[in-house]
Amino acid sequence: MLILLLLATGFAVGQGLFLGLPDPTPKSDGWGLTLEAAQAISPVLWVDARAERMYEEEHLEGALHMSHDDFDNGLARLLENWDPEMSIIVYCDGEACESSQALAAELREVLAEERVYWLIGGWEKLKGASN
Amino acid sequence: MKTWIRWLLIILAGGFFLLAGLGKLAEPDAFAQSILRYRIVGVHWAALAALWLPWSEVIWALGLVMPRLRLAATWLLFGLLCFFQVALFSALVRGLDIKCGCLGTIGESGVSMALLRNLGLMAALAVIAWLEKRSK
Repeated sequence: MLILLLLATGFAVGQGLFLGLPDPTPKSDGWGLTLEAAQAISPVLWVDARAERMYEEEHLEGALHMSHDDFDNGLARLLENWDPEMSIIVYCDGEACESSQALAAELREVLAEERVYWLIGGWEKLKGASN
Repeated sequence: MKTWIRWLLIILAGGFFLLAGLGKLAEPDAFAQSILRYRIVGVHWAALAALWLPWSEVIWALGLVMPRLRLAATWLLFGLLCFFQVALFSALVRGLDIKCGCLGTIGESGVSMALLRNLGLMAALAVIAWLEKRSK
């Protein structure tokens, strides 16, 4: 058993030494905003891209829920609440989630609107700022 | 008959872990992101786990085909699956909207599906261990 553990650890250490540690932070597409930059934008429509259950538990005041799986219904809700003067900022769980980035890209395309961003750090940042 | 069953289970379980490990090794950054989405560990530990877990799967899967290492590899993989089940179950309970990340670049499955699949793999490994002990 020790041999197997040592072999796995040895190869992992070797990979780490030669190729470096993996980077878990999602690659940004250039449309991500820090919380400070997001708060400086007005008027803004916030979109919550987390799981619906989490949205129902707690969300940013005024934020709409949207998901990739139920995009059409979410888009209909968004169009009811969105004024073309408003920028749109999408957030998801936190540092590691990618749904906000994907949803923002989809909205930019569908709405033919440039000012659709995603929040770096997501809900964790928003929650941290409100505490 | 028992030898035939044992080898079938070894090929199924070993093949799964080998493919899963290689799939993760192909995209270490993506696997590290998958670990981080479980929100169990921070960035640093996710990176270290993304380095160690794929090699464990590959080496231990190869251990399954070596008679002298088979029993140890079986229990190590069983332990790894127990750990994965806890992580998957906690994600399910917390309502995290994530994919399993179990197969790296090979494919993707939901958390519930991964929990069921892992139960099947645990059963296969338990039978391999039982047959291995009986044959000694």
